[in-house]
Amino acid sequence: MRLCLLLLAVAARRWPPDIAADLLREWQAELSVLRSSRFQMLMYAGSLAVAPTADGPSWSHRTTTVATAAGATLLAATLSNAVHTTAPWLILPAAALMAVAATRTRLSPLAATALITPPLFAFLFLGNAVSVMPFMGFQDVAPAIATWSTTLLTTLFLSTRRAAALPSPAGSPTSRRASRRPATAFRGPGVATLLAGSVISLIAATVAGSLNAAHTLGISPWSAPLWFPLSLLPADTTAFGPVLSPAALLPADAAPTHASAVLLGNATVLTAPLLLCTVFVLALAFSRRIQAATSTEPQSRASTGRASTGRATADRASTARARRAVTIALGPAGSPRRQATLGGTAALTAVAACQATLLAAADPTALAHRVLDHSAVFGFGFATHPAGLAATALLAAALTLRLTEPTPT
Amino acid sequence: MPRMTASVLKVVAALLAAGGAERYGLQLMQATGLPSGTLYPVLVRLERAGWVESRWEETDPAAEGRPARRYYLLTAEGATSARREVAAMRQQMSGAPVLGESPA
Repeated sequence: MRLCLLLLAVAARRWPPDIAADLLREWQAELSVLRSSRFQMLMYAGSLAVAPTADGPSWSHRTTTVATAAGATLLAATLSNAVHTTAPWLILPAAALMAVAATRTRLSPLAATALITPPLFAFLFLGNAVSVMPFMGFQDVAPAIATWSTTLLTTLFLSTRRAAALPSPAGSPTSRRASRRPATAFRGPGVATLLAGSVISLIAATVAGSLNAAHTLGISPWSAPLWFPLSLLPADTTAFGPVLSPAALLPADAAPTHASAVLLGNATVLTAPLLLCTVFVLALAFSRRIQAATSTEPQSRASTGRASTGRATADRASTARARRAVTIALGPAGSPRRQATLGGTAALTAVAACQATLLAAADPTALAHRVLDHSAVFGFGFATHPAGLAATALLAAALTLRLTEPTPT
Repeated sequence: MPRMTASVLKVVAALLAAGGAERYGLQLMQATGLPSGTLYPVLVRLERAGWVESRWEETDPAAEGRPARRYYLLTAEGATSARREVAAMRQQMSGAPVLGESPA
């Protein structure tokens, strides 16, 4: 009974204050009638506690939100593997792609961070089909993801509070002037906190995820702050720690190498997806700031002058031409032909990417060498099972359709 | 006008079937088969749209042995609109064109 009353109180708290008290009173009255069956009471109260409110997000919206977070993680994982198997500098276009993907979603940065955490953990911990990474157990992945999530959530919270603490745009001439340009979203209050906190979250997560490895390999923790940047650089950039001879941690035919090669090679599998997910969250935060900056000053567009008007017209014409070309090739927006083409292509691409990753990860000896040269591909072990592969293809298709659907005007 | 989902239609159909009698939450849950988490948001939306009005039962909780209930009733406007929507849905389900609308 107490649990049910608690659930009702939780449910009522989610409703607008003007009707919450009446609803709680009504639910308590109904609950008292169900007193003969504890199961029915629990179902009644539990349903109210988890169901969407009249004004809140629907189940469909909730599902889309969770799928978007899972899709962002999948994209980060795929891009990380692509970067590892080609060139480290490709992390930059990969990050740009994550930022573009973020602008096509409507997630809040806080929700994105919280929702990305479980799939990111699952990808790093459970997605390992062939266990070759020496330090990718629970004691490595769990602290890394927990540290990243906690630090980034705190950063987002603090940055939002700093932005909210300043006077509104109408409060002062300076802020009114500042709000006229979306670029102020990158200079406004809380931005330094946001950027610094994001970097700290990555460094702290790398350290938390590598301390166990450092302890085992005999590497001094004093170098810990450098592990994150070094993990993104080519394998031969630096070497430190004791020299390891081929043993349990190295392939039998490997030359003696510094312990840093194993530590950083292991860390790079962790840091690349973390970095890309952080970029995704930052892009969400900045796109929200841009929206806020443009919406606070409706006249701002009018004051940008003829040059920008001309540019905007040219951009619109170019976009219209591109849209016409896509419409001719794929059919009108929302048509079954376009949806089937886009969804099918995305599903097949996801299947191909999973198979390529699984093939690359199939040989433990080859992968062990890859650890040492920072080219290890990791994860997607879930795709070895047909259900996992089908779910991945379905997710890719659904998200592609969601991201390519016309933006409501 | 509230967005006509399957849940909304079930609730208004149950209230119409009551023939002007008041219904409380558990009765509507039984009549529609909807869980509490679906029913109450629908009732709130219908009340905001003016289709439904509610009142608290005037009773002595000590004498009744239970707290006062909240009863729901279709308004006159709500009943008219609900009949139209339910009829339209039934005709749509049976494939017949809706009265007053030319076939596409």
